[in-house]
Amino acid sequence: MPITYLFKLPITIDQIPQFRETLEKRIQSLKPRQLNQFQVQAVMFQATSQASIQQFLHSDFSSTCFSLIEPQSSSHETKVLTADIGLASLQRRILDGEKKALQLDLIGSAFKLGDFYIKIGAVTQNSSNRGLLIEISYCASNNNDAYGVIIEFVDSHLGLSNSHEMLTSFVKKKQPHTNYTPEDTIIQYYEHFNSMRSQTAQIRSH
Amino acid sequence: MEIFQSAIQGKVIKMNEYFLVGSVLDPVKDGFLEILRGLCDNPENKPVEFLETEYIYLKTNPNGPNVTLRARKVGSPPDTAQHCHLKYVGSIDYKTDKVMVRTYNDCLTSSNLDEYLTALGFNLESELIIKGNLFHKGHLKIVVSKIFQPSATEPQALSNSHLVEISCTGPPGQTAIADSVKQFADLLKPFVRMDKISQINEELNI
Repeated sequence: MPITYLFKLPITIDQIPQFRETLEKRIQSLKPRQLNQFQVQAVMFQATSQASIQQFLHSDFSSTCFSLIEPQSSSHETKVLTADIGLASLQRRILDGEKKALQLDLIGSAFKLGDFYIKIGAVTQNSSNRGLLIEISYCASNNNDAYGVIIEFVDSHLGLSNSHEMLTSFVKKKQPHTNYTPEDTIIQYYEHFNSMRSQTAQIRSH
Repeated sequence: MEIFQSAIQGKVIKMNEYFLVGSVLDPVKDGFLEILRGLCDNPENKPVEFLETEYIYLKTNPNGPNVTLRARKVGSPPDTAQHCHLKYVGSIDYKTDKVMVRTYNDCLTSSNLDEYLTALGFNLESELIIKGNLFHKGHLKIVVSKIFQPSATEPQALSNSHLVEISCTGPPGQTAIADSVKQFADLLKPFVRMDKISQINEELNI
């Protein structure tokens, strides 16, 4: 299982298309193998007045549906239920009619370069851009090794500085000896998507 | 990938369960299992034995009908299982002439299902232990099982008979599936009468 880190680029919404092109060009110049398009979707369901859950679908795990229970407060641990794709149908059946707050989509291009998988995608909500994410996976034996190698890859090959700041707090807090699971990828998406949502809320309130 | 795309588009996969039920008294159960073994696939193998705990969850909905979900785990309560099976079944449609039909959605999930359902506002309604044998005949599933109620000491049997179920899942409106369920049920006629629940209730004046 490759270890995956997700970076959110600190750019404004109008810079997204241009920045994406630049990054893709930089990757292309390394002569990678182009993979199929990748896709991530998050749908939020308001289950009860207090609790809501988010359904995540990721094309890398195309027969799995992740359902994330939103923590009540930041001190709680984020819990993810992993199920087969049937859960997506079941969830719609039992929760349909409940208010659907938001849906975020991410579509992007994926590349393989040696032991690295690089995915670049723009996050959209109702087809308007929300942010740019880079997902980098590396087949490492432990979290500690992967961290250094991935950060170095981002700094040198993508020409970004301060890449540590683009990670989620979940990754920063994670113990180096713990195992990496697909749920960890989903929690990173959740945290980045959340920050994008609060960003837009801020813009609107200004 | 097709199922993944339909999940991304938010489609609900429509599946129906076509089924009939009957019962067999405990003293003659072993003989009946031998007959089933002969009628079903792979008679040279021993029938699959299982012991599962079923948890029935209920969510009361102020604006509509209540929703019931069934979760199953392998083993009796003190055992901790690796994964759960989550099932949604709709109300039974008696209008079809041959078999009972109900909507059916299921999925396999990770072991933290209980937390997830609680977060969604579901409450544990009851708990059953089911011990039985499973047979296959093509797409048909035949289950002979005994239902126990868990208690502090020994699980208590609810009746002195075993439940027999013939079922098959498929897309709605498949009369061929209904026919094959009915045909198989007719094979059991001299030993066990397979019928619709409504018919049994009518005869017993319940």
